Amino acid sequence: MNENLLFVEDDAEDVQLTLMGFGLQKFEPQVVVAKDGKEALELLLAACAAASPLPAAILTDIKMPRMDGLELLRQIKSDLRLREIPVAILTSSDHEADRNEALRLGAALYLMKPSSLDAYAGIVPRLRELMRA
Amino acid sequence: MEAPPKRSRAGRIRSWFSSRFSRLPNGPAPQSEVQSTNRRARGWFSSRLSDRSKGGHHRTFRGVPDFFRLAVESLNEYALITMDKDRVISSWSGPAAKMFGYTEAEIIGQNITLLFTPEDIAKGIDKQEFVEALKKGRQDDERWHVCKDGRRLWCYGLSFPLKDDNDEVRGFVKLIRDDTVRKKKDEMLRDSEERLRLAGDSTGLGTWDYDVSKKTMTVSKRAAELFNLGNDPKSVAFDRFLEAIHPEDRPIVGEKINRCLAPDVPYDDDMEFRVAMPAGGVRWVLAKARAFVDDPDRKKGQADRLIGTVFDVTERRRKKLEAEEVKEELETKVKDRTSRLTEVNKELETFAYSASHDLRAPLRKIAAFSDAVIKSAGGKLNTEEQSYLDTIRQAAAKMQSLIDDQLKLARVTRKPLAQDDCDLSKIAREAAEELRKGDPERKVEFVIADGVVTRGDRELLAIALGNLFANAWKFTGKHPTARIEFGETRSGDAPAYFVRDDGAGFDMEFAHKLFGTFQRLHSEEEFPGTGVGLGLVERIIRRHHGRAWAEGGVEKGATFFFTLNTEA
Repeated sequence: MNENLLFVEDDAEDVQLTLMGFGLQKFEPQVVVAKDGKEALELLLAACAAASPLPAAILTDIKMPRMDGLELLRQIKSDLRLREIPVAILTSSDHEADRNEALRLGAALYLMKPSSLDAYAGIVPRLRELMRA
Repeated sequence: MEAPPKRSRAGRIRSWFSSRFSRLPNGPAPQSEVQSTNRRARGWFSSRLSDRSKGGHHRTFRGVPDFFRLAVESLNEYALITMDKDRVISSWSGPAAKMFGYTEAEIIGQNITLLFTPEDIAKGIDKQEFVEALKKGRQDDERWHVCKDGRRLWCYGLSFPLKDDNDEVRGFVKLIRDDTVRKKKDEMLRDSEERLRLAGDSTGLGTWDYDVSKKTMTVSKRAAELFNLGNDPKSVAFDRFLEAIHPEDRPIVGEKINRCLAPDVPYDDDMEFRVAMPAGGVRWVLAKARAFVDDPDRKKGQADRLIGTVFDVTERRRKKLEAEEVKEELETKVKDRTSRLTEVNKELETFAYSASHDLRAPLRKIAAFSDAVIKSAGGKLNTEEQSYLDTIRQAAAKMQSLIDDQLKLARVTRKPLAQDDCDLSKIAREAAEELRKGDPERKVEFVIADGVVTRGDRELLAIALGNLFANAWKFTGKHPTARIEFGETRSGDAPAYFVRDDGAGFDMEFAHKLFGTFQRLHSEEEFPGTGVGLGLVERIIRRHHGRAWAEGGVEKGATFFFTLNTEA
């Protein structure tokens, strides 16, 4: 199974907390972190160009500089080479509008950033499932 | 008394008679016969006079040819009386009989003095009139005459001497017209004019009268003043009146007047216009007009007279304009401030919303990293260290719930208000069910009135009722059993809804603090909470233009009431 995960998050502390949560579940995929949507898209296109393997899943925040998570999602879903990669949203936004838009654009999961490590660990099984698919 | 040498009025009338008779229609009659008729006509007067002077029998109009008789009798409004030189009545026309009540038989041979009032007789006017008629050839007069039944008639009279072919005075003719009604009307008009003048003088009201055919305006002194027509001119040409009007208003006034005069329109109108002042500036006047039609047939209803009033409204207008200006200024100010306030409120809401939102991330991290510390220490922390970290996590959680409440409040304020049919009974039952599920062990009796319906935002009203129920649930929590009631009552004319509990209650002294956001009447230890629940209720009710209030006592329970759509 391809264990590559592209994690798009501009907040280093959130990256740290998320990975600590993963650790609690012994979930240790190959994680590449991009600090916004633009960087993530560049990485993906570069991989396509080099015929390198693409990540098994993408985990992305919504609110980020340069290109936000929803725009990234839109770009991925409109690119034939990328559209099959499952995308999970991990955000602090509980706006109904954001949730609806993400699901409409084809997000596989919409997850709220939790406030405890156990809760972070709790999202691991769902990510695993996504990457297996 | 000698007649004046020149042709007298009497002579003209006589010659009129003559010419009329000499030009009788129905030509076939030979000229000689016409002449003879003519002679007979003159002869009638002569013979009448001579008959009378001889004390002979009285002849009547019946002896006169039909034409002459018809002519005289057709003068319905005129009594025609002939007298001899001594003013003894020798003929008496039908209208005369009708007017004075004497039949021919009664009056012929009587002196004309019979028709005069005792006052006039005392002054010798009954004789003087005919002396004057002789002197001048005719005498006009207006005076009272007396009827057979004693009634008095105000009459216009015309007397002239009757002469024979030799210019010798044979008697007199007197034409009398009964003007009593007209006199009464005149008097009434004079009275009402006088009253109007008085009213005008005391109120500053001017009156005017526009004679359309003569194109003249008759104006009262005050109207002349107001229209700026010079010093009491009584009457001016209509064009002169138009000139006095401010050029900008002239066409409108002209048009209005024409509209007033036009047939088939209500004849009343009023208009406010400017009169140009010689020293510059204007005077605003209010003119009211009423159109009159003297002869409705003449111009198919086109009025020929316009009567009206005029009033100076300069000051009134100035005050009104000032008031309007002040009002407008105030309205603009209020509008400006309201819009500024709305703007500021919006900014505040946006700030509260984004601040609340932004605060969540660091709080989440405080909680999560405290958790991380505990996890990574792996049981190596002492009890004290463990307790500090727990406190940090609890404080963060508390702050999190405060922020969540703040966000709820902001949402309640920002949400556009819907107008749904709301079954409050159903909403209340759902709220009760939710609470019961959360703590099935508690012994709480819910008494919920059926069929309480209203209109409002269903989602918001559910939040309000949910909070009131949660409030009641919470504050009955220390009692072994509780009763929570929902129902409808009245507040004045409007329905009021209430949620009543038999819980801890509150001190009425602090009732005004109940609905304040984040205000609490109980300690956190006693009853946990952020104090936002009733604040939310208050905001939702206020958005529905209603009022929320509470009654209660310490350990006597509490009742929360609200109305909808009752406040401005």
